[in-house]
Amino acid sequence: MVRPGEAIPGDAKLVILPGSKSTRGDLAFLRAQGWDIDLLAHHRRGGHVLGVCGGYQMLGRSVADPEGIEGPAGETPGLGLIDVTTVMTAQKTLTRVTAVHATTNRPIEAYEIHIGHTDGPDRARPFALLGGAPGGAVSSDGRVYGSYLHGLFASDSFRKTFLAQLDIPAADQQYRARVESALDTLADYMDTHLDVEGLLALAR
Amino acid sequence: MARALMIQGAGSDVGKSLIVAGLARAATRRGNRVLPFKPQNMSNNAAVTVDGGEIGRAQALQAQAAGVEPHTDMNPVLLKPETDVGAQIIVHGRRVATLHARAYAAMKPSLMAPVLESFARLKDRADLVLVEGAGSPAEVNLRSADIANMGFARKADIPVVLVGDIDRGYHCAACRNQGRARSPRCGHDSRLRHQQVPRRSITV
Repeated sequence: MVRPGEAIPGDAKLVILPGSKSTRGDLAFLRAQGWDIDLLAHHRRGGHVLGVCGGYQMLGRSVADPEGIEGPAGETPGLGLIDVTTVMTAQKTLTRVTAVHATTNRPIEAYEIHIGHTDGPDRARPFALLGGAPGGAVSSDGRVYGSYLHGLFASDSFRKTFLAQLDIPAADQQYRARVESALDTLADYMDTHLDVEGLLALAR
Repeated sequence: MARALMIQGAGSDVGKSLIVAGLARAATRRGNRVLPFKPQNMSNNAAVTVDGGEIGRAQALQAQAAGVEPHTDMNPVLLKPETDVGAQIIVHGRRVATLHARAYAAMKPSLMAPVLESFARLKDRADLVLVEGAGSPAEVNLRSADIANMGFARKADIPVVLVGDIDRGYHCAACRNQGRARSPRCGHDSRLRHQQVPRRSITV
């Protein structure tokens, strides 16, 4: 995680731009941090970039919010790494999806929560297929990806294969099992250190 | 009809969500049908539910701790802050408005009914409903028509346990404030017990 005041490390292979509830506002913050310069340098050095949801919108050529739905009305230039543009509309997408990653063919269990419609020439190269329909976009050099799929890296097989493609070592982890194990550990901890029976007996 | 217990905090970020998740898992392992519930959540980190709505991510994790799918009834009111235009108001998983704090305060009294509806539906299909408060009940400026903390607990007539972080303190102040100002049942009385967990300490 790169924090405010820090630079994006020059030796990164993949930079992930996560989602945002205020794409244009957070894009202004990203620029104020100088991260736009870091990202463009990272890309010029041959690095990969993945934008998820608001991060995908930022990677395009522009983000317009003519009706002022997510903040003050207006248009903000994007980072221009993917040839798409986004227009915010009142309609909100809210859905769980099962998709297939376009280049690795691995299944992705994910969800979408966003406003805004994204379109442009790079949509011709989808990031994933959702029930056969193309979703997201990939830059013409194949190194910048945009997707509306939140939670995509919880899909073990996709995560491992995607990272391996970028020559990034990935441990053989089972995401769901790890969360389950953490919850069991938490409950064990509480059973050891708290009067759980006493607490539950308070319920009415 | 299920029993219920509410966990409130001496402040934001004291560990309420994890305590509820741990308790949910501990109670589920004892053979109870457990469901999590948080009347009002302010968070931009949402999860998509089986019924196609959105709730706070913490409630989705608590649902997993209880071995159930997340449902909009588990977090009937979700506030998602945006840039300059206020916060998106999500009720029963759907966006109903975008409002500034003052306008939301005016809307709040009307939200107790949908909160109680959701709570009643959860009680119908559980043995135990674990309720999480929001922020701190000692935030006196937010008490008017409260649906998130003591306002809900009193309306639903459920017992409250206060969780604090001993490193931050002010749990005794929160109890005392609550006891003096509004709720004798939550007072600093003989039922107040301190249970300390090593490192990050939990006061009950």
